[in-house]
Amino acid sequence: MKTAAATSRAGADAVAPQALLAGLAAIALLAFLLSLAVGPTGALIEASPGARALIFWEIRLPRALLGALVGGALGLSGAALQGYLRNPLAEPSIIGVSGGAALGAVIAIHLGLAQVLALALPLGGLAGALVAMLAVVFLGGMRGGPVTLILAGLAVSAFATALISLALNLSANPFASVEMVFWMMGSLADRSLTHVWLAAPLILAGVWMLLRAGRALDALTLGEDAAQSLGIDLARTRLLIVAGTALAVGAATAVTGVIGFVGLIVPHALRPLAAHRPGLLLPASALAGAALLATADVALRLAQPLVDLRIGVFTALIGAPFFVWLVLRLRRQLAP
Amino acid sequence: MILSAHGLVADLARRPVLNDIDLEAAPRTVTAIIGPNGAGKSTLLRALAGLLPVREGRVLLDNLPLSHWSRTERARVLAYVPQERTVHWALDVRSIVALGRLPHQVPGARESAADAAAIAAALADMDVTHLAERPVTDISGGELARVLVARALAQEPQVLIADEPAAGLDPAHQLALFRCFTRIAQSGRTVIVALHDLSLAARFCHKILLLRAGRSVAYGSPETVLDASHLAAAYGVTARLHTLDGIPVVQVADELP
Repeated sequence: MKTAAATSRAGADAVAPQALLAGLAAIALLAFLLSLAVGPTGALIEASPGARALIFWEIRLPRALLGALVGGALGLSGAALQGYLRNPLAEPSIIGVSGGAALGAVIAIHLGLAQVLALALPLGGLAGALVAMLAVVFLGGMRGGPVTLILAGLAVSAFATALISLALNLSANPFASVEMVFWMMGSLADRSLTHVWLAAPLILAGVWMLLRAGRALDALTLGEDAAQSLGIDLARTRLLIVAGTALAVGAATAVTGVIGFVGLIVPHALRPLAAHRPGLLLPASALAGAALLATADVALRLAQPLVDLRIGVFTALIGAPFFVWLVLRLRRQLAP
Repeated sequence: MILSAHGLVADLARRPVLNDIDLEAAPRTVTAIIGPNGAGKSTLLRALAGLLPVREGRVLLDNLPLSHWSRTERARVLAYVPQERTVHWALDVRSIVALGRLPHQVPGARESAADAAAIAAALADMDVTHLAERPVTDISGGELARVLVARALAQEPQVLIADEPAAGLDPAHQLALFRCFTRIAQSGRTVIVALHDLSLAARFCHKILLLRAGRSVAYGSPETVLDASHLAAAYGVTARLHTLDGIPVVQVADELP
């Protein structure tokens, strides 16, 4: 059997776990500080003292915090779902929660609630994510293998997509349609600390649940029977994964809109560095996701004078070629 | 520790698969579960490992019903090697074997000296030490089978349950595997294996349960169970247990008309 040199030794690319996590934490912190420092008024925020505080607290800080939180939530959920479903192609949207959040926000726009109350958008998104999670749990059950969860997620996603199309179709007001489409592209701009307070506790609760599933995901490498014989409670694991993803990704999507590819690519890229261990991949992907999204947001702000891109579009633009590269690399490895 | 089944009845997808099975596997013994394909061997092992709900009857581990054991406590004394040999990620061999230490570790704890010793002994017992650094996706099927048994050995169980661990192994490693099982039994532990090789069962196992269509055809010592009439009833073949150079061998001659 011929295999690429890169995989001839599993430990070849791997780094000691503590060194990996410490390195990624340093990179994430750097990206966060960079995100605080970059903006049209410069690193030192050249403005009157009053405006300076306002710019820092109302613009820079919420944006940097949300970038790190949402990126971390997406990276971690992607790693957790890939580990639980034992499928490297899984990503957070697979369980239908981001579709539900998008639908909730679109309904808030459609009903005109977003014009009355600024927080109607994220609240609608949270409600949508919650309904989607309950539907997935009800449909897929709390027991059973990955397949029922994937199918339930697909069904809920398809339903959400259909209802979003319906809302766009029925929208009499073209401005509302544009707002819906723009919202679904995902953005970190113009979010306030209120958005952070709304999303952060839910995201952190989800992160806490997902990080607790690490041992179970390691054991699931050997399949469900072997994992159970190692003392793993499969029903508890499923609850941690589904509820943790729903909280983290649902809250993230509710405040920023749909941001794709981060949850797919981050665990993929880090897997060799984490020695392919699904448990270690969880904290690593959370830190790397935070670093990636914060950095992407900085790049976006630097490019803003030239082109005003939404971050969901940007991650898709860099994510898709990366994915093509992954496919080509895999093809080389599997070539006879 | 004694693992025993009493009047066991179990279903798979509402279809009865096991009917009224009695079994007692004691320390210092290797028990074989044999029978034709679909006889219920794997279902019985899964029920004994507590992975399958039992409709009637009881499974007792150390005289306590399995349900009275906490998951972790049970995993510390009972290891199970599934028939299906899938490993989902390209972990290195040593990391796979190290998974056997999970029940003994506090979440988040680093590998202790006892963990490292158990892993090293398990790798050596299954003759896979030289593969320790290789990704499991890169090794052969027989090597993977040994790695997966090593994972269960690293668990240092009092009761070891293995579902067709010898399938796909070359003759030398089949012998080594069963010598290892004999050694484990001699150290005061309990071994239960499902297998198809009747000669291995005759040579290395102290007790044999012969299943057919979910029912017990015969249960006892190799000499009584591997009787021509039992083998004819269970497998539909003419077969004979005899001794060649002092080693018991089951010779299968022909299908019954």
